[in-house]
Amino acid sequence: MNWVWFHKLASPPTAYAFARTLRPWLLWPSLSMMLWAGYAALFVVPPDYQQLDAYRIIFVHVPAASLSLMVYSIMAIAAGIGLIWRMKLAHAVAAACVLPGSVFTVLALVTGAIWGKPMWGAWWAWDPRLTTELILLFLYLGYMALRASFDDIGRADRAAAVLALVGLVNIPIIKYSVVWWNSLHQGKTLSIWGKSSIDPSMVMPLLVMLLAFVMFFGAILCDGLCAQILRRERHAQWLTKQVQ
Amino acid sequence: MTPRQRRMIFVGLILLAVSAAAGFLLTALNSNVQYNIVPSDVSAGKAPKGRTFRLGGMVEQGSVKREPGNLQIQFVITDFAHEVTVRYTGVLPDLFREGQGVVVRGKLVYSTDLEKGQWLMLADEVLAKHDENYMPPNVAESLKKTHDVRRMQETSTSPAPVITP
Amino acid sequence: MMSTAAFQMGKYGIYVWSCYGLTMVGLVFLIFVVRRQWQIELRHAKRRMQIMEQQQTSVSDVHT
Repeated sequence: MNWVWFHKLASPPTAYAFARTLRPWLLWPSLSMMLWAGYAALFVVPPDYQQLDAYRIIFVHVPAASLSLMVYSIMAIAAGIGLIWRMKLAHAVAAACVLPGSVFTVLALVTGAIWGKPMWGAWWAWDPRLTTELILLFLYLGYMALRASFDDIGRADRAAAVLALVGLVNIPIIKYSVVWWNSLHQGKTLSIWGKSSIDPSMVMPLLVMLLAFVMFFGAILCDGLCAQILRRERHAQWLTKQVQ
Repeated sequence: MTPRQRRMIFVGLILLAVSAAAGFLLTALNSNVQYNIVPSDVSAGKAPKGRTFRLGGMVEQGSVKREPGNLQIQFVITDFAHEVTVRYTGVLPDLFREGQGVVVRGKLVYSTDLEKGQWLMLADEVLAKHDENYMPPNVAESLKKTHDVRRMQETSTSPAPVITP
Repeated sequence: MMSTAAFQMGKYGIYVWSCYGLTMVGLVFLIFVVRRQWQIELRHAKRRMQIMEQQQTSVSDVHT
């Protein structure tokens, strides 16, 4: 197998240039998709037979929650690659994941609470799904704090990577918590392989919003990665060309 | 062994150790603490005595009784095998209705003057559950109709042998 | 013309709109904060380049 393209992309100058080119191609389509999906979710799709208009929160809650899990998985895998292959760029990716990841987690928790109040009757319950998602937020915050407590960026990378890998075990627990325990939180709505439990007339805005969130995260990752590369490559020669 | 292989084993060991620990913890949790206790557990004497706990089940059809003039309400929770009567004062969630899944938190007392069973739950919180099915009202209506029709056909032809193609 | 009923959503308007509003705030926050992080690093890098250039020219001045 030919890994030349990978090594090329993994070199900081190429990655930097690639991220700068890629960012607008992710950000603007993502924002227009969000606009369309948000309009459709609020005004076009019919209300739910049980929850009436309150279910419209799902169109922001599910994408935020999915991304909180996805971003953590990317962060932990990047951290693992950085740890094994001593790849600086992988550590830079992991470091750029933590801020968007924690924002998505906060959004999932807050929109969930606002949805829970009128439907369940409580802002918060110590339900398995809710509790494990809260642990995910603490993992993100712990990762940030651990990183900030080291002056040496290499040591910060390695310590944070171990934490990210340890926390990875939480991800399948969050995902399957609604299957393993008979809890307050309902089961999954979207299914890639099977049939989704949301009516076809409502599913399109949800899928578009989910894709838009993924692309949005990509755009944010581009900027965050560039900031990380500049911080790590401060004495490199190639910077002169990129900066000017 | 190259340093890279050593680091690979190190990462593998972290993942293995943590998932093993989580696995043990989860199986221990699963057998000891259930999130919801169901009415069958209560009648089997498995519910905690004199302590607040959560009881889950379905609100039985036709069992909701409201006290006129105040917010007191009484209803029966069933798991289709056993029943527990619940008494609660306060605002109910919007999804609370007969036939709906609920989780109530409160203390259990023994009572002999109940219509169903001997267990009375004095609840201080009532949460309504909903499922993951989202559909417009007209779809739900037609689904219900076809379901009812199918059920009627099934009951009317129930003794008929099942012919497999 | 959209009716106000579409905005009120029965009694759930406040819940739905606050969710969408907070999500928008979170996403806009991410765009600006992360972009700012990059711009700050870029400014630092530029300043370092300038200092390095100045040092190089001053060194060459001494030698000539």
